[in-house]
Amino acid sequence: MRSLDRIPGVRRLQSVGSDDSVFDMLILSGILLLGIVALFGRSLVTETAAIAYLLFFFSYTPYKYLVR
Amino acid sequence: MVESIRVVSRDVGRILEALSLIMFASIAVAIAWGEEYTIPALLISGAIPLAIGYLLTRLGKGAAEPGKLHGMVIAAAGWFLVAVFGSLPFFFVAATDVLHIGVLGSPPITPTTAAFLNPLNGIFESMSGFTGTGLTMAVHENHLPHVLQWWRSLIEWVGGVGVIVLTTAILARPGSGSLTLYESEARSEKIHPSIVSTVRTIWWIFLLFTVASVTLLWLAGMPLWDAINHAMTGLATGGFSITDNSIATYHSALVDFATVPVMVLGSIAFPVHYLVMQGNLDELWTDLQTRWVFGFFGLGTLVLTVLLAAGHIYSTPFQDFRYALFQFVSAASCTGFQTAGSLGTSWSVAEQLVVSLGMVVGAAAGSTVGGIKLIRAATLTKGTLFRIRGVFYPESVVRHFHMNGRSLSEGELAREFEEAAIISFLWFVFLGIGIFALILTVDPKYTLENAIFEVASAQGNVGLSTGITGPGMPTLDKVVFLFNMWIGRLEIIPVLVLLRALVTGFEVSP
Repeated sequence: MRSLDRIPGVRRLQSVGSDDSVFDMLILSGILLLGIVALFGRSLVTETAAIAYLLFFFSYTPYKYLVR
Repeated sequence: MVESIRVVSRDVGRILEALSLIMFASIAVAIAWGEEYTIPALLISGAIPLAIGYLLTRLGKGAAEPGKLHGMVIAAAGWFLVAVFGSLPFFFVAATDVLHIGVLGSPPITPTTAAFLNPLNGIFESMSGFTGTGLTMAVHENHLPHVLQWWRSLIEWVGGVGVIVLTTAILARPGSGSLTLYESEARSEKIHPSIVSTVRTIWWIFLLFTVASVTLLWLAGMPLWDAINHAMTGLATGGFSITDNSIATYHSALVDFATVPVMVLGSIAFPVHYLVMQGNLDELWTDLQTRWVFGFFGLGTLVLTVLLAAGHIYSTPFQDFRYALFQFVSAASCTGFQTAGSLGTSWSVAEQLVVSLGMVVGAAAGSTVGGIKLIRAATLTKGTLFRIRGVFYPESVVRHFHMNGRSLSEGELAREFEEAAIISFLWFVFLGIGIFALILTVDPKYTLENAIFEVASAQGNVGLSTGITGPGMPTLDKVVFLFNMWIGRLEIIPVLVLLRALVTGFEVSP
């Protein structure tokens, strides 16, 4: 994420969130994923990527809770 | 007095400037969908609030920081003016269509878009959007230009963030439901120092949830454009759809079940979301409001499932559960998405009233929902029991009221109880006024329970409809519903404060 800091807006995004770079990454990667879906449509690859994204999204908070 | 006007003027001006920016930003959608003929309409629509906002901001330049009274007036006036100026894209796009200007390449106007040539319809749509209600003047949403579909979704999305900010920061006071969550801010007289960081964090969470919701709905089978719009309006618990039959369009149980968690996310207080995202997952069961959200949604679904099964409207128990879950969560979260097309006609009075109860109570304060809010229902219920039990104790006994892990003295309880009772009382007074106006003017084919349902839907910022709301409804009803939606969103008191300030000024009585 350090190199991403140089992209305009990303540092600002990181500064306003939950102080967790993983969630910041989830916003950015989610927008990127939706961009890819808009360009290439529904396919096995995009659906697999979407499932992986959601699995990560919904398991990250329980993970944080368990390792707390 | 003059200083107070300058304070309000500056902040309302800033709100209008922000409104103009999102209008200009929507030009990107026009370009993406090849609807360039709407660009002049968006430019004109944005220029008007920008100019007025600039003048108001200039008028208030250097004014003092706003206090609580100003915050309420700014919220009420700002919401009203945003709804008025937010109607401009509806009117100007419709006007562009009707003029059918060849050089712009505008298509022939559809009856759905033509409804917005009546400015009142546009203001209704805009107020419905910014208040997260979802009642609509568009007969066939899929006939609207993509730009207007987007504008409807965007204003619900922005309005959703607005109401979270409103309830967690600006209006935080005893009994508002925010006190428990933001006790330190509730005691602050100035709003700006804490509100800036609060707004930023809420935007961040909202954006994250929106991206995840779009992905979920797309994966469940919605086209991407539909998923984007429904994720925005579902999370904001607004309920505008871009399809003719709301979520029922997709005839998919998977889509129905995927939409439910989106609405639930919008029903949980955002401060709780923040804590959960910090790793405090136990907030989901230790926080009183959140616990009540799940309990209320579960109980309502169960009762409705039983009633639907008894009524034999649907063919299988799974269908009963599917429609009961979706419609109760949609009602209690005040979203207003609809899957049961027969809700207004085939559902029994008991079923409609269960859904109405969900709309009236709502879910968590500090979320995007409307209604009275569960925290007030909890305060009134537990407070009443506390008072009754108090009769059995000697007067010398010092008792404390426990709520959500906090111990309140009798004085603190009295404040919470009083505020919850006042808002609940006013809520029912204005509900009654709306119902009275509606039954005087509405088509006689609609019943009293239809009228109760419709007004509860408007004032609870829900958007479910029995079919009464539409471009053909009487003008008086449109105006009454505008008022119902406005006071419902602002939880009544700020609107009354604004009206008092307009009549008697800002002076505080000694």
